[in-house]
Amino acid sequence: MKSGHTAILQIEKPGLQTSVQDLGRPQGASWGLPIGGAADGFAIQVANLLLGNSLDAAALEITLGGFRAQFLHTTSFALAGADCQARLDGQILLPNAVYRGVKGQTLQLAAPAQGVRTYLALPGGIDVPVLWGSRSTLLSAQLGGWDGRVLHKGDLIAARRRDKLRPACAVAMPERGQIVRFIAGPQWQELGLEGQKNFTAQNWKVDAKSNRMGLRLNGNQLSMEIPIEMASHAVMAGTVQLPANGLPIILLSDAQVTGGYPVIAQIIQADLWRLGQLRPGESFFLLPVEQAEALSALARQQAWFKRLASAIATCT
Amino acid sequence: MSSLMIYPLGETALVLQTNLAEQSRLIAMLRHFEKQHSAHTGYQMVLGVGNLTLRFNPLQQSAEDALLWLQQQWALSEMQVDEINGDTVEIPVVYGGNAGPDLEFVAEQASMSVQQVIEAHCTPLYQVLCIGFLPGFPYLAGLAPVLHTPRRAEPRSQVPAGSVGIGGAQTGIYPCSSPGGWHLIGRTALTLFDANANPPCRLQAGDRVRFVAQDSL
Repeated sequence: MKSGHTAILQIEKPGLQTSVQDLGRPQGASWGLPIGGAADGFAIQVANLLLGNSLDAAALEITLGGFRAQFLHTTSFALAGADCQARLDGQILLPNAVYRGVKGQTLQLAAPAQGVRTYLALPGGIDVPVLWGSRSTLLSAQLGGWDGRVLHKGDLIAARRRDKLRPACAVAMPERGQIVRFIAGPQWQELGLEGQKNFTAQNWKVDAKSNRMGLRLNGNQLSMEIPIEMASHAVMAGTVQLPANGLPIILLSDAQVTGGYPVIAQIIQADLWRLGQLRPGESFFLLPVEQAEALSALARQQAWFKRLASAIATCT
Repeated sequence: MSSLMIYPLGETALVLQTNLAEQSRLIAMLRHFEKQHSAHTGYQMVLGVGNLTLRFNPLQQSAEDALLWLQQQWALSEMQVDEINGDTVEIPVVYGGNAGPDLEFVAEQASMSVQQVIEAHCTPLYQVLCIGFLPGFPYLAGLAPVLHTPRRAEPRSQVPAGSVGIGGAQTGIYPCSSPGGWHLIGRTALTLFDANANPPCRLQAGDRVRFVAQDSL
């Protein structure tokens, strides 16, 4: 790959879907470009914090484990997100921690027992070109990241910074729980009391056809009291659409820029990361909250990152 | 009088809802924003059809400030609407055959000959309402009612890039290959989205489009 830096990792097994992601590309909306970026924006930031990277550095997003790579040079690295019982030449690694990979060692991730996505960060972030302010891969349009595609066996990964010895450091991540909070959407009223109750009282199950664009939900179908025809409007990660079949779709980070289905809810920003870790067959509840709670949850999350950053700085 | 509503979408966005008659005004808002503000406001604008969404970071900007700012932009747009000088872009299209496998179906639905469908599709000066669905995908207004055709019962899993399609009352062009449920009547060799170009989109909201029939790509 065109890169000024030396390759430090060779992919031996990419697993189901491994791509380069960061915090996304917010500026291309009027060209129809999805924001994209990590499906679990929380874990990728933790991985970067652990390594002393900037929060928007690019990392590998590994889907459901099954990943193997060899270190071509000695380097520190961090893993965060779904626990894949990672092993470094057979030695078991804790999740959400920094380690040192020695030249010749092999990093192996098994399938996680919980969660979907694991982030592998390298010093300074993964070295791929910036496209419109982001290094994230937009798989649907084959743009950005690693030539617009998922990683293949044999790909050589470079990092943007020379390795700096990092102190061993592990983080206790917040519990994901079974609840995802939302704010009522523009078409919430049209759902009627019965539909609203149906939406919040049931245990929704994630359908196998879910991907980075959206989570399809299975459960008791909802119906609008009055069917409505919608003009195309902006949608984004966390937007809950209700198609005519009555089964909601929650959009994820690769959400298209505009959509035409009624929007019954919007998942709060602080809980978006939970969506990125929900796996097919897993079930969860949706809890309505007010704007104020959404804002304080977001502020608390921000404060948690700040505390983590200063804790890491003191152990350096 | 124009109808106007502004309501929140979650804690990070406000939707300005009006109607299709005000699309030029919304386009003027977007263009003015891109010229003046996009870099330093921290706001992002997404244009829809008869609506416009403002995204913001609620830890940096309050919803009240965003609302006030959006209202100001709307008020200003009344004067800016005359300034939109959209390009008129001719799109060369090969109709029918492999390039447009559904052309005959559309003709049957419309009780027209294939040639009449082509003429009816090439006549209007379409307006680009907004770009969405896929990078560079134009939502076009102006399709002749006789050509309105319900979407395919089963979407194709792969529509080739450049395909010109009809879905309900809309016509549009697939900038990249994608699954799609529209009826495909032709294809253009014109590149609508080029990651290496600046801007990457050939068309912008406010541009006008005319399809021109040609024999080969």
